[in-house]
Amino acid sequence: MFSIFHPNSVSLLAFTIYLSFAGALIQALLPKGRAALSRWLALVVAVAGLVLGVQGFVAGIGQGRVVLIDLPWVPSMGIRFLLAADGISRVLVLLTGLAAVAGVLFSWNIELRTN
Amino acid sequence: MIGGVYGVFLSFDLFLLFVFYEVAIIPKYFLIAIWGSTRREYAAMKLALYSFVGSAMVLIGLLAAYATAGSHSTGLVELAHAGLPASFQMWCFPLVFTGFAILAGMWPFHTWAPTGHVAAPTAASMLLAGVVMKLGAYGCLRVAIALFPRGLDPWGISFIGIGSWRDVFAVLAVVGIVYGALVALAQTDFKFVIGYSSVSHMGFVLLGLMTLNQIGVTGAVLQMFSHGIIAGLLFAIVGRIVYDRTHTRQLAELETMHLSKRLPFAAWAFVIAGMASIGMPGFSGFWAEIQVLVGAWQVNPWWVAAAGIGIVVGVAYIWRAMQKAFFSDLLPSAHVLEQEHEHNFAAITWPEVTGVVLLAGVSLFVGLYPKILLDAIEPAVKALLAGGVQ
Repeated sequence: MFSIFHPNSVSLLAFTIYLSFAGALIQALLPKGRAALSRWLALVVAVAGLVLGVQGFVAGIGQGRVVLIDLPWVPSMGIRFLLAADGISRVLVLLTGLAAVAGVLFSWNIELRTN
Repeated sequence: MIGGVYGVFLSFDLFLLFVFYEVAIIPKYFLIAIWGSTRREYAAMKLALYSFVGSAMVLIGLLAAYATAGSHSTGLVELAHAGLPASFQMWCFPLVFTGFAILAGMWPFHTWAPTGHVAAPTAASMLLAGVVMKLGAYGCLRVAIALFPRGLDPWGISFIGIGSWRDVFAVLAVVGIVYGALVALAQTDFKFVIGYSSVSHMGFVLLGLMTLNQIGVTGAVLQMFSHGIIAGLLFAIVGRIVYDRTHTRQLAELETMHLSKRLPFAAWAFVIAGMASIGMPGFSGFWAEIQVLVGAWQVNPWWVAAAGIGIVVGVAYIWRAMQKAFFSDLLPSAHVLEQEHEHNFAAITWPEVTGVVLLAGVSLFVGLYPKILLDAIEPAVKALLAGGVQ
């Protein structure tokens, strides 16, 4: 396998979340009426999510549950910002990435309120 | 929204999962209400109400579990090992399972799904059927089954063969499989055919989960993936490739348009997607459904017999839709003839081709080499069934 698929890089999966929210935020800040820019940005973000998903899937082959990040969030209730991925998660993350890319491709023509 | 979906699949803290779950489903309302079509306000409101009731049930269950466990952690692993009393699990399981299953389109709480799918713009239908329904099924597995496994134990009494919550939900799943397929067969709107087919296919996911055995649950997870891809493809063909050019989704009108000749790409894409949808060997759906059925057979062959009816009807409704929409011999109406002379349909665009190739290719690849996903799913399912979350 390629050297980029180092086992520890499963933790990059968490960036699917951050990246998607960052993409949505940038979309909201884009000036109105820039349909082409908006759809290319959506495609780039979706493809990047899929690439991260594929990368995490490949990196996770043969591994059980991998903790991605574990931070205290609401300590008084013991709630943590705990992201992890097992085989089930990795398969469904892959699905999400594919669906996101396909979703962007099939809404390429929308001109109404593109942002 | 997509960020929320990723978040749900990666959260191993109960409340974090719930937060992402809400982030993922709330935008659906706006997607339908603003960009939707057929009866969009009604569909959006219906979807919102069903989602909120489901979410409320889940939240009550989660708070009760947190309070009962008395632990100072909301991690899924810790809660699964907290030793929740069996009597508590017995009422909390159906509450949380139903709450999540509403979003997975479980009969009889499925009615938001077909109207929502039809009213939503194409990309939103793809995401609704493709991933949002999976969030519900995922919650059933990761939270309800993993945290409250004792809730599935037999009650000790049995009434017409139903003696546990497991029997109850398996029967609902089977009814959903058959009912969804039969209703799909009777639809006049192309998009409703696909909408009801989702209810039927999600029934397989829920049935697989209720087998509680390795092969059935593995099949359920594979079916989540497979249906996500195939439903996305079907909605894209119907809602985008065909509707954007014909401006109708009525099968009776499409019947007179000679689409196999005028839109050959759409016709062939639908043939491939249809084959994948009915579980043709060589596509991902085949392995998923066969595993669910084998798993179910080990528990109760009657479930399999009933689900078999759903598969046969599934072939029928796909065949009917394909024949009517694309391969009909009906003479074109005068209106269509005139249109044909005036202008042909717009050419298929590169994003459309790319999208079809991507989704159909993945379904075919997984169908030919299912091991690639099964190697990931199987150990995780094994660990989950063995002792809650691994």
